[in-house]
Amino acid sequence: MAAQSAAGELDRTDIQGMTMRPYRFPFAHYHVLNVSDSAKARRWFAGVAGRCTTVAGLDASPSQAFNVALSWQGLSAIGVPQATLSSFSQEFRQGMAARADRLGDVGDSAPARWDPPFNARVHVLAVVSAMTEAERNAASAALLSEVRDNGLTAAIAIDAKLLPGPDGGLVPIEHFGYRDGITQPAIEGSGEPVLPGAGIPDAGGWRALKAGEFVLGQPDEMGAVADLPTPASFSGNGSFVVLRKLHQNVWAFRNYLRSCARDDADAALLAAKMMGRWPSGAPLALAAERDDPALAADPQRNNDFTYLDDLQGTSCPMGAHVRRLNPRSGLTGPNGASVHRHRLLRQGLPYGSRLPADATADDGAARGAIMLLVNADIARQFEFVQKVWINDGNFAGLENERDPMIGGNDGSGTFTIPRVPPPRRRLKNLPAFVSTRGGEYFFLPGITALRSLAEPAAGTGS
Amino acid sequence: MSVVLKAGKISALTAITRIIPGHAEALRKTLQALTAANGGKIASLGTIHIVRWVIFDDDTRLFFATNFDGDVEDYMRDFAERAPDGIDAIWGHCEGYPGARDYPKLRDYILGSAVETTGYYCATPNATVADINKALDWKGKFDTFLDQIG
Repeated sequence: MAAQSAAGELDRTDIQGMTMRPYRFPFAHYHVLNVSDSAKARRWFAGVAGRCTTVAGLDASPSQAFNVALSWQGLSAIGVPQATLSSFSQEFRQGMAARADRLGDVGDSAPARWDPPFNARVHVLAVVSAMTEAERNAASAALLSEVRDNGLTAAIAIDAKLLPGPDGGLVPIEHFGYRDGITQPAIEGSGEPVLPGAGIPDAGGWRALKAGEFVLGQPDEMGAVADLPTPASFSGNGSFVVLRKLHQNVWAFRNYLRSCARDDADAALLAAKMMGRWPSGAPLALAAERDDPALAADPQRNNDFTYLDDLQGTSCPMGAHVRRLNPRSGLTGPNGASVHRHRLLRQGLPYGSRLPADATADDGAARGAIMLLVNADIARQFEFVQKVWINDGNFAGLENERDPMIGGNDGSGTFTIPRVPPPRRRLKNLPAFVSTRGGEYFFLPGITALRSLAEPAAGTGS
Repeated sequence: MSVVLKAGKISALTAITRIIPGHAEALRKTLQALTAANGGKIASLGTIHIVRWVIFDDDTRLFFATNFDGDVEDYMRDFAERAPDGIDAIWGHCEGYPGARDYPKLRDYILGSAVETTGYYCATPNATVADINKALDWKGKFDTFLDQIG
């Protein structure tokens, strides 16, 4: 039975930093490692426990961070006992590729077409984050030289970093050209401020989400502590991180806009309607007519809305990307009752170079985003968002429509833009602008749990 | 999940559970009250086309058959979180029921007592409850409009 009472105090020194706080490092290497010697690898994990960046460790704004996570195959490969392995949820045990049908990873996104190393089961995700490229590269070189003698083989180091803005400086935008990362869930006890729009709207403004939506062993939004994988000494203070490697077909996006817009201004409006924000990040909920960079630059204002005054979607369409992924108070009826049970903390960075604004043809280059989505319950949070909010329309009265930016559209998709006065405008023949190129589910253990791996009987606990 | 059959967007689920001896009368009253007034709380869930309960086998067993939009796993948890009292009020009269507040156990109980569907036909497999209600609403408005100009 799930416990009804609150657990103990949140131990910020035992929880890996990316579990609760959005990383703002401009550079990262996402290392995928596989286990070749379980005893050596276990000792290595125990040894790096003290080097992992914790929630508390981020208080001092470090110039770099290090985090490690293991897939179910990885936990199995290092010899975590069967009783512990089988106590993890079905979706985590199966791994992302086996969940492809649920996730809409079919056709061009099917696991059979994924890039190495994700075309096979992978064991370990090690994340090196840094403020400068030099720091990141030095930390990665040190990591790679030590793993070889510690029972691990390096499968890939994915090079990810912020993209250059108009003046060449690095800015938080994604490849389609939109400011990214504005909305992050504020989490109780994380140390992050509760910016307007970050948590849950309540009478006094906005409040943070309960830690249990992200940290195992803490009370969640139902006020209870969910059942944990056993023993609790191994799973407590842990979390799950969903890795998605998403290729972005920027040329197809621009081409589609050209094909259905009347002129450049119309193309900008259609794109903003599809995204739910303007390129600067100004939300349509607050800036329905045109971009407003001053609004976008103000963290007290750029996210302070609920959609309660826009239930028809005439400012921001119901089907717009950012509204689907965070419907706030904008869902009427029963589907609005549980919106806060499907929140995700988003980490990750773009990979590949930008397609120049004046490109006249598709360069065919690999570019996209490495998404690291943190949640306590993969099925209830990530998989629900992917399956219902991204790839279904019924929850918002949108019939067969899917997310216009990242949904699994097949060239026959539609996107409805409500207008005042009516009639609505409808875009047709939507193709997919994003393809899945890899991914896996990882467990992000607490520091004590990592240390416990030094013991041969790790994971069985007492 | 072979016990859940899908036609287009509509899923069908049938489950049979054993009623705790002496509880059939209370269960009968609960079900009649729950389904009175146009479905009441069931209608408010917004994704249930049809649900039918039958107490049979001399008041010893409960037959439950439903047609609903989407996949069972997507919505059962939300139902359990939104209306745990309603679920408890029904299956609380049945043997082995774990309670609605422990979702994995509830899922295992319902799916574990489900029986495979042998034949299934749905006339509107691609129209959800929301689609149908919206279409009927528009039809009503259009008729009103025609009445006014006629």
